Amino acid sequence: MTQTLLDVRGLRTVFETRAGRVCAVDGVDVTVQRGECLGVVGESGSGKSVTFSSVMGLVKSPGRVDEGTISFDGRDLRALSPAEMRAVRGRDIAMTMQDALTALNPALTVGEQIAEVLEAHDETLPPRGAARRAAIRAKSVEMLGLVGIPSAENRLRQYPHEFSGGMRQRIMIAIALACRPKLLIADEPTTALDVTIQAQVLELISDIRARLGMSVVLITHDLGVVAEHCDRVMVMYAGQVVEEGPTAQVIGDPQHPYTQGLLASIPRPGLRGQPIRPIEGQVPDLIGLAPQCRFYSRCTRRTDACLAPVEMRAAGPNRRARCILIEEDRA
Amino acid sequence: MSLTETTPQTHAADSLFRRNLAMFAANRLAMASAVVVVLFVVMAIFAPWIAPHDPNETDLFRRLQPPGWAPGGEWAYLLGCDALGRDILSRIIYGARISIFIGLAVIVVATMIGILAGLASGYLRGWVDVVISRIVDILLGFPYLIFAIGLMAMMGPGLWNIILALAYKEWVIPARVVRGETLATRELEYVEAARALGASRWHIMLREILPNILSPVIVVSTIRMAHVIILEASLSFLGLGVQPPTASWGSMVADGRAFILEAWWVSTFPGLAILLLVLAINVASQGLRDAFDPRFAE
Repeated sequence: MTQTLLDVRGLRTVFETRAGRVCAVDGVDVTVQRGECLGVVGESGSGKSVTFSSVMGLVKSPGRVDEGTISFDGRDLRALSPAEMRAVRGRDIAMTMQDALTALNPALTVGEQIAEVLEAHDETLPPRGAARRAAIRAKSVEMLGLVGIPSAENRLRQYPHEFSGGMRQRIMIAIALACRPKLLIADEPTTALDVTIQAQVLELISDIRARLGMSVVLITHDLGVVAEHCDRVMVMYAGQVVEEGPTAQVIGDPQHPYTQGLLASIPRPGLRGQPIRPIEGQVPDLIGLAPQCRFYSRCTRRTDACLAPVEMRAAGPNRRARCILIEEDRA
Repeated sequence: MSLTETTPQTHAADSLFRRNLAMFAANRLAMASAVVVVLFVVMAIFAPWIAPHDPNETDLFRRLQPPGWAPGGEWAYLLGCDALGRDILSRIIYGARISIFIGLAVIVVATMIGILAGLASGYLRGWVDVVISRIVDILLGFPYLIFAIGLMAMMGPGLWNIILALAYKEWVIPARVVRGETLATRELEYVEAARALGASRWHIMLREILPNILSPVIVVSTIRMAHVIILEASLSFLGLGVQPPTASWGSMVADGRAFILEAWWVSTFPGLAILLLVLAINVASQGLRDAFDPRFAE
């Protein structure tokens, strides 16, 4: 068994729109090791969610995965039939949605929603009858207990609207983890929650990751979350990875001007009184991009050399960044 | 909102459905209408025990006998007798069976077909949607009664043929409602979440989407039931419905047509029965709509 769980190479996902072809993800490489937590950071529209929708085979029309290989646990996910892919989703790779408040079905009880995943994927259950129902019930109670929901027995009979936002996020995590997936993709698990609940939910994910030994991809735009919970971080900009490496190194010594700009735009107690320095300008339109550095228009250190395509360069052991300012020989 | 409602344990089973039901019960006119509908249903089910006479027993000495309170009437034959001396009240009671059974059967068949067709075209989209939507458009273009008359003429009269003839077109109504609701619901986050957990298309359509769009479908179906009852009566009136001697309200109205001047009761009472049942269903279903349609929630 190799250490690498997910290995994506050269992923390209395009959307055919009336205005033209939008390349939402352009040549993205992702690797996730077993038991690792990878943080994916970027602003809205940088392609972080689409990258992982592509991995799950959930890109909606008019979008499609155009190029690239997606290898998960030694299997090529792009070569799987829709039925085989369904068996992977939920059992091997689970995903929690951005908005916990709308991601649970309002017409079904929480118990029914957990039971559905188990029904679909869990092969260790007794084949049918009362024994099966009892086993599903026991597992559901166990999952709610795992995510810290008290009196789980009673709460299984309740509907989502009877739970608070933080509780719903926990339930979503419980549903995602019901079949003990090898990889959990948490797409902005905390955006809809207030700060104290955010911390609890992230603690919970870290804790369960350690206990079940699964890998986690944490998609977020909060570098603080990444700094606290992730082993490695990947920064995305306009559909490309611009920097990746171990969290402490990337945050402590960012190489790409975009990462530097992101870090400089975070308010910090040490910088009290100084104005926050936003990154000037806007993300470029993804239709008809020129073959140049995509950060060119907003970069404070741009040169004419940036008008040629820029490839990822090694920026130290286990580190890469997409900028011509990085000396190749540092690797 | 009282304080107790914020503690989840106190209303563990208080689903949206139950709240809507409570709202319906609070609407007195709708509730009264629902009671009338239930009375009709009870009357239909227990017709042999309720009806004072055999509905098909003819007695030429009682030909066109007036209602009980009119001169020449008998209280034992409360609503009078028809041209063959059959008791009109008994025939109305038995006729309720036909009207309600056909109304229910058509709606159940049409709603099931409509739900499947609507879910398929709304969720699967693509050519499935194109084919189903075009069929719906074509069927909507036909005048309903003429379409049904044509089908009855082709298939011949009979109970099952009426149900088929009416359901043949009726399913487009729920299908359109279901398709529209499905189009809106399929984009919601919980449907995406279900896909991310490996749910199959059938599972998503029947388990995730259907429970969330059932309320408007139920409301539309009950409103349409009144319509179907009138259509059945119309077919029977035209002689294309249930065949004699089986009592049907529409054919009873037709029977009395020839004697409308000298024996008004033969046509009037079955006509009133149609009016009362259809009115009650309409008012009750309006109440259902008010209670179940979120657009009327405030």
